Amino acid sequence: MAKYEKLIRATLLSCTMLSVMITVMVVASVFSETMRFFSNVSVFNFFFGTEWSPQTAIRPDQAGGSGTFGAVPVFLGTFLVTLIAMAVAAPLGLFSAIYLSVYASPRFRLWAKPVLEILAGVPSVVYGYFAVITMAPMLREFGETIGLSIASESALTAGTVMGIMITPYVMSISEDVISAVPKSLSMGSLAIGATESETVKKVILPAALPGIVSALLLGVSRGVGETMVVVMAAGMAANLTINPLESVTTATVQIMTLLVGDHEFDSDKTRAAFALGFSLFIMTLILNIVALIIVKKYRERYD
Amino acid sequence: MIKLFERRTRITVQRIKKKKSPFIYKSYSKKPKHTWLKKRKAAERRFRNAGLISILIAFLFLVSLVCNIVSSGYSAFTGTQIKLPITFQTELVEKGAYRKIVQNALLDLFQDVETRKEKRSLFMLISRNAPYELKSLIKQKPDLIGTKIDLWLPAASATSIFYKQRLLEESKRIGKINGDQAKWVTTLAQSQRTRLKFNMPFFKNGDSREAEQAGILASTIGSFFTILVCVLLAFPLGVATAIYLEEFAPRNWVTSIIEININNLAAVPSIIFGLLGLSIYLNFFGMPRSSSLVGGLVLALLILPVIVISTRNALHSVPQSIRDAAAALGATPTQVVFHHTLIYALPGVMTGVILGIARAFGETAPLLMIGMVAFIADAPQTITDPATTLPIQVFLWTNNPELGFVEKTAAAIMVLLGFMILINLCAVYVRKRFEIKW
Amino acid sequence: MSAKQTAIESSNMENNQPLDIRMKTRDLSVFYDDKQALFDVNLDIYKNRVTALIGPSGCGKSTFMRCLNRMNDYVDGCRITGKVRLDGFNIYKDNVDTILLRQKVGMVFQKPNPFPKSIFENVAYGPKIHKLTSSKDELEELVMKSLKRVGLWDEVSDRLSSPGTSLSGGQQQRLCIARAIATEPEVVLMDEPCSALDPIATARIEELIAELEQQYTIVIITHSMQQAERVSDYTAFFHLGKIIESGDTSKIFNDPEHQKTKDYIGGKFG
Ligand SMILES: Nc1ncnc2c1ncn2[C@@H]1O[C@H](COP(=O)(O)OP(=O)(O)O)[C@@H](O)[C@H]1O
Ligand SMILES: [Mg+2]
Repeated sequence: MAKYEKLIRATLLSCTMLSVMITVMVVASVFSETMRFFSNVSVFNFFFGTEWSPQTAIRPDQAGGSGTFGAVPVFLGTFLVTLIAMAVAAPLGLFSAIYLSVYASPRFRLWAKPVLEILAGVPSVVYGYFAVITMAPMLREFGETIGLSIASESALTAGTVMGIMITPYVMSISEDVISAVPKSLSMGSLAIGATESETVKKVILPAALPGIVSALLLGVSRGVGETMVVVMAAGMAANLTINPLESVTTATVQIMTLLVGDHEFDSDKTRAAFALGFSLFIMTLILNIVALIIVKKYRERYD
Repeated sequence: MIKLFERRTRITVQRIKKKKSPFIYKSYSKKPKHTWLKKRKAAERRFRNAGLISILIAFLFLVSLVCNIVSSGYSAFTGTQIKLPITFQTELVEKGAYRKIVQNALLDLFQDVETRKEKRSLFMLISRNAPYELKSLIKQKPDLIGTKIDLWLPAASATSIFYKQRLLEESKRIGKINGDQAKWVTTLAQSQRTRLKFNMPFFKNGDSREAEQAGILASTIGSFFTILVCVLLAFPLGVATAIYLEEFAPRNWVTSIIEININNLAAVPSIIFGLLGLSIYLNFFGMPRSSSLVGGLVLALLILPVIVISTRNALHSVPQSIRDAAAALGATPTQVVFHHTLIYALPGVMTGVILGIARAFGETAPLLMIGMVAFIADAPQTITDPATTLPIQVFLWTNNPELGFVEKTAAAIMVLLGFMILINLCAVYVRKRFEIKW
Repeated sequence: MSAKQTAIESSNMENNQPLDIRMKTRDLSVFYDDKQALFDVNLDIYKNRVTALIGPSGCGKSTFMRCLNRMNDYVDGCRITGKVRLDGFNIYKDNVDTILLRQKVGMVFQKPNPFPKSIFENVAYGPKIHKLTSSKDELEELVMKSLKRVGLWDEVSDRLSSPGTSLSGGQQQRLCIARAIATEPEVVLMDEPCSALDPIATARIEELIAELEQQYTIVIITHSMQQAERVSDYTAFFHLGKIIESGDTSKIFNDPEHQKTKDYIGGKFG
């Protein structure tokens, strides 16, 4: 009897250890490649260099023979696309959440929320298709009619579609956060003659602010790490620009292009992808931890 | 419109004598205090409309996404066939020149075609796969040799799209079809030599260079293998980890670090798991590139935290009193868990696992990185064969500029979303049917 | 100043109403979806008097009270028939402005619900949204006046900027009362304002009610018979959505007409 007991416990423990090992392995493998990259390329050049052309030349006399790894354009592109995405997702998600939790009838809320959450479950490759086939031509045509030339692989296209993708995510979390504000608070405000919008703006939102901030941070973290939409709809060339109508590249796109179809593994070029991946990892980790801390503080305040 | 969405208290009151009330806003409108009230009312309306518009935009996205995909994808479920008077001349069959047989049949129908250029565009009406179909037909029925017979053969993709969309004038979008071809197709259609049939190749073929022959079978099987590997690994590991953490682990800093670790893993961008697969599975362990084995292993890491977290939540929602009751009857701690807690938590666990599968099913980026982007024409036989998955097939076809692939892509997305909806319905069913309310 | 003005206006319009009836309900029925919670309730609420609503829980007291300032508008599926008149005007007429109505008919809830803002901001909230004051000084004065009236001024005058939630339960409830009266209402509704408080805080609130009676019309729900007897002038006894008996408090408590009232007051059920 006791033997079985011990055996089962040992099995469970070793499974847990394995899971933990895996999490450590994920970080360690990416980290070690990153370290090897930085033994060849200086950290300073990577984080502050403004030229990104990682392709090493096949013949020594070709231009850019050794590859240049200044990642600023890549990070700037990531930043730009995410910013556009949040410019779409933050207002849409937040206002939808407010409408759902404050104005909508319970029946409407009951089916609207799950239906919109379907949007959040659609695989990102489908959004990529949507960006390429529908959004890019549409934006280009629209640009032409108002006299703007929009690159077919513009930051605007990728960012807008990514924003559509993140909207239901932001909406869902914000709706939870807003509904979690005690009803007695809004009743207190309404009972002395405040309108519903005043109640939202002056009582509910300030009370729910930390939760909403973390919903937005989680949205940003999704955007920064999103791959398929940008691979399909943003460009490959590392332009140092903040013009949303031009083509930019992002960290995830670069990781993809550097590694897909490449069988050789031991070059600065492939390791650069790991360095980008590690930076991405750290970025999303910080965003998530900050979001979690804010939420935790907020929960403590309301219990 | 607004009434449709918004809560309204229904008020049925009998009217009273008309008299000015201190609460009637209109009667006050000239006083300064009530311009302020007007402003507040306007602000309220603006705010509510902003919310309404936002949610309508979100719905608009959903509707346009779905309409877009369905409208450009539904046509891929039918394929065009053309009836040709085929003559199986003995010497041509012996030489294996089936292509020539098809070409002769076409020339038979359109005898005024003479120049080489015209002939080439005429031959392009029929799928390049048609000769192979004739070949297998002869293999089955050798007695057809030497006879003449009307046969339905698949049209080429461009022909097919032209026929389906009835773009009877020369279209800019279809570079592949020219005026002559358009004329011929129209003639064929008028003489009842064209028909639409359910597009079987789409469901029983793998990828192909010819759009009319490209199908999703290979990638669907690849998806299936990958998910199988993924679940076989992640399910036991995740559930065991969750049980240990929730039921047995001592509450100390080691445990809480483990918890933080696993929670953070859930938020890591999926592409990082691709990096891991590349450096550890492929480079270090030397596992077969592009295989569903490696794909499954990578996805297992991806959904491990999902399973751990949902299982822990399910276990957590089983009341302590149940554990106490079982323990009071003399059950050992593991008996308490495996005879009671886990059993009662199972619906929640399964829901979590199914949702994890849904996530893995739609995942693309990490699989691309471990090389599952290969051109796969034949369905993989084992988990170590090179394979691809349904979302990756969508990715590959989206990048294919040929027009015929656009409808294929949309159709593949329809199948992909169909699977997703099915998986999610399973989750809803399990939750509704089996969940225990405490 | 605006309080005075509205008071004058309303008294002008009260000519054909008996002066001392502030609110009255006629055949008031309330349904939640299809379930009826109130059945043809008729009650008069007298000016500058305290009216207590008593009855076992679930009998519709809160529902009735929410009808008096239309807070039921925010309850999903709630439907109302009948009339509720304030100074002779049916407040359920279509063109009635609920914002102005609620400014005149304030409400205090069972559980203290200060906003997560400073003490000052809590009290200043109503005057600000209604623009009752034209300058910062006036606003500060109004806040001070309201806090003084609820007897909180001496306790919090040195920490007006600390959060309202940092106060004790009784102080929070008085803060909520201050918040309600800062909008210069004429009727104050209190739904079990003392049920979450300890006896000392309760006594404090009861004193406060006695003081406020001079200026406001007060309706209070209470589960404590002693409290009803102490603070109120009129009492209405609710049972299963109907008013069984209403009238002078002393009459209800000493010489009730109905057996049910007797039983309830005697503690036989509730
Ligand atoms: N929001 C609501 N939805 C449905 N029924 C309600 C709601 N509020 C109250 N009720 C029902 O109305 C009846 C009266 O409730 P309430 O007015 O809260 O009673 P009291 O305040 O006297 O305890 C109860 O039966 C209660 O279940
Ligand atoms: Mg009540």
